[in-house]
Amino acid sequence: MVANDLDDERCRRASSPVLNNKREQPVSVKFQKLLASTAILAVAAFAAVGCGGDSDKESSGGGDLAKKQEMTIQIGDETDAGVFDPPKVAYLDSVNRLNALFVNLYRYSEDGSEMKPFAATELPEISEDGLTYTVKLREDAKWSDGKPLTADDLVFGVQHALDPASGAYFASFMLDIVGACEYNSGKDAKENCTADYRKELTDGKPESVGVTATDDHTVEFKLVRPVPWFDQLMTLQTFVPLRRDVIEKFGDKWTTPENIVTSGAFTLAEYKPKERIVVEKNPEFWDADDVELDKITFRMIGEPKTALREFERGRIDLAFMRTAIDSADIDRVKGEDYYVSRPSIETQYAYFNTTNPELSDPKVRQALAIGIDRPSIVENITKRGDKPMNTVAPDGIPGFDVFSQGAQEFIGAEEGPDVDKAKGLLEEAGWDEKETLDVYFSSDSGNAPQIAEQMQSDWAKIGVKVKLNPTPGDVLATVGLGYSPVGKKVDVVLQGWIQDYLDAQDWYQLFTCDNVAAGLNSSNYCSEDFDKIYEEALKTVDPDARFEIYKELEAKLTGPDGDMPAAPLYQPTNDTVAATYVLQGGKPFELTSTGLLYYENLAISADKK
Amino acid sequence: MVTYILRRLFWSIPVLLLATLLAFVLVKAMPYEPFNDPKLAPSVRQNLRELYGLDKSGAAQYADFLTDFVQGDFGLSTKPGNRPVREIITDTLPATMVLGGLSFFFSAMIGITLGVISALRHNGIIDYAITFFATAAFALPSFVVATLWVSGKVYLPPPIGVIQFEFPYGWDSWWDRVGPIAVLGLAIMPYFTRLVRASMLEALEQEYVTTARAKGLPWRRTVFRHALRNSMIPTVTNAGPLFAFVLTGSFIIERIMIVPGVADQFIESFGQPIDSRMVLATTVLLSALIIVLNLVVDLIVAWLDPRVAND
Repeated sequence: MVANDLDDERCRRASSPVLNNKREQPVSVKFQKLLASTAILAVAAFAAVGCGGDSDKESSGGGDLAKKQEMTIQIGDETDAGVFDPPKVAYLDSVNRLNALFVNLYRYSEDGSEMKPFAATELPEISEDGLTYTVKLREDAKWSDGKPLTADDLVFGVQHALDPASGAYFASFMLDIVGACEYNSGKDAKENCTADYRKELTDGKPESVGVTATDDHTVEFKLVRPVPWFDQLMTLQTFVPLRRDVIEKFGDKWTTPENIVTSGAFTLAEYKPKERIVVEKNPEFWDADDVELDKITFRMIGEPKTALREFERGRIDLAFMRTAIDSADIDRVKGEDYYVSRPSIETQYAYFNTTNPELSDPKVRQALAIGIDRPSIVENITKRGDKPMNTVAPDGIPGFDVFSQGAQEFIGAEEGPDVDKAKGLLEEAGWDEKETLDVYFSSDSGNAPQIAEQMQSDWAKIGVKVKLNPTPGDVLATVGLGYSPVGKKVDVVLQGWIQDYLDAQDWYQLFTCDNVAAGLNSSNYCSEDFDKIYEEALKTVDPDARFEIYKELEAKLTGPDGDMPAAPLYQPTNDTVAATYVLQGGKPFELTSTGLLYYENLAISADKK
Repeated sequence: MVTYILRRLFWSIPVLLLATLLAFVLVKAMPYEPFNDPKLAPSVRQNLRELYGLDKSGAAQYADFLTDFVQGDFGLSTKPGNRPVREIITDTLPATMVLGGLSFFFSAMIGITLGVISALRHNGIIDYAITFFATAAFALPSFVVATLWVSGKVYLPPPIGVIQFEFPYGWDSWWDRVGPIAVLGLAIMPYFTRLVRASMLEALEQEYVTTARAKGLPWRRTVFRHALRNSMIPTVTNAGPLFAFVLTGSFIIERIMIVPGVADQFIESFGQPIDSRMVLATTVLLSALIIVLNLVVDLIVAWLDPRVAND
């Protein structure tokens, strides 16, 4: 999905798969614009960030818990904050909250490196042709009304997500299940489900969707083609068991605190629109004995400054990732022992419009990519300990160690620009010094304007002139990624991408020919060679073999002989504030690289006064 | 009088229709279609478009809107979660009305009093003090005041420096509510003070005041019974639109001071992707509010100045 980091709105929209493309302009953007960037921030070394208080926290952490296990957590005030129907939510904090109410099949480990079974007993069993996934559910799982959770509930949950009436955005990720596209399309199945790997269409009934309960606790998913990352998709909130009887009985009202029946560690106790959501421990949850929190109050606070103030006043214990720390406050907060951060699985790019004649030579693009001073960007501008990047796909995705070798650190991101090398490449390409590049970026707020200025001065050093085009975020969306291919006049667009699922395919798809027309490929880059290797990767189910293919793809993009359709800039960092007495699995609170947060692991230590 | 009110209300219907039609046409003229996210599968996009009736022609969509509207329904918000617009508004309108109403009331009370005092002490030290205060309050944008208020810091000259206070803000208790009401009230108050001061000064120069004094009417009675009543007319005329401004203008305060109100939903609905049904609902609500307020204003003015009613 498109990450909005470069207009600072990453703070609120980060990791909202699909929806980040929607480019909403929340009030805070406008507000922050009014406040202007008066921030004068200091420099911090990457390693130092977020580590300040760790030793203290460990000594104070320990196993002693407070008597009163009630926590108050800040969340954003998105419109879906009042929605409790799992497939209908889209933003990350809502996904996190629903993970507390409903069990999903698999969850990520903290560093995002591996999937762990949750409502399932083990990782899915995958048939040799990669077309059948078998999931075994826990037998001790129960609903909050005491009824056992069965395979039929999961089947219904998947059907509910695919129901056209649900209008679920995330159904987009489920359409490779047999019959899913047909059911989700209704009468338009013939037009929508045309991919050549769909041999024949089903009748479009929910029962014809390839999800079946083979016994009380086993569900079989049948796919129309091998999808190597299908197991990753099963961590989404669309693969969640739901109660048919409850939804059919109450209709739209099934999610009110009186009607809702949940399967997760918590049940919904109270919902006050735009104000608070209260959840309470669900005694029927299989692991209820290990759930320490009796009650969580989520307070909807959209304004970062207020959220931070509420935290400092001790009225919230934990803030939602990125929403609590305004760039003006980062300096003050960074050294505190309650500041936590972790690299996000996300990238920021300068996309080059490869169809423009002046940028059509890969050597020119390579020179531009090399000419950017990334260390300066992360040290002097973003200041959250972000990581300069050599590759298109970021660190933290499985296989990074393998496929990142494809880039061979050609850009030299950590060292800063190699001016002579860049000049040499431009000379080889016969760069005309009279050319001026039009760079587009979000003007609303945040770091993009400063990053663009930095690039302007960096490129001046290698003899490339730049015209800066600050563009309001909503207009930028119409020239940049997400809506239409980059327009003819646009040369460079600053934009980002954040994971939908943890497979590098999510990044490499950005540069396929198909996605030029679809609007995801902001570089208008189309290479038969690249597409051929990409298609090969799609067919390769074995992860290790796939990573090797990704290495070729990476080399094709950012390697010494690569085409460099976009210059990777840096990998952003997630951060938040968490009181030192907030424990997670018995240890001091840490963010996950995916931004996902599992509330049942939290507790309050005896340190809380 | 009753027929007058009924006639006015009747004529507000075409005004409302025109307002929604304008809003509808302007929303449609935006070069942006919701749900054209390239990551959405065609079927998902189509389902969403059908859910919102976007697959129909413009005229049919407007007709849909009117049919829903007559039934007291505003359709679904196009923001994630597909929540009904009516639910969003009924959930959050009360807080905004309470915030707007109370700050309007208190700022009117205090503002008018200060304006009268200022006029009576014309060019005196109190007048200067009040005018200075009103101008300062007028010049300070509410987002600055709200931010400072929430931060709880009071900046004083050295050697005192910064003092930290715990000002109330939020919406949980009435004590918390004092914060947003005070900050919003401070933003409106100068309007009253300045209007009342100006019109009061003018009224005090009028011949009827001289006549009343000449006839031996006590000063107090002359001021409160005659001058004040007449000087209230421009204030009341301006108060109607001002109240509508208060409701929509409080979004920054709602956001910073955590008021669960509707104002910032209003503003957000205009952001991209534009939330067409929310924008239409907002237009109807605000238009209706202004129509009603103008009616109320006219009635009050007629009461203050019987000549208006006779016209």
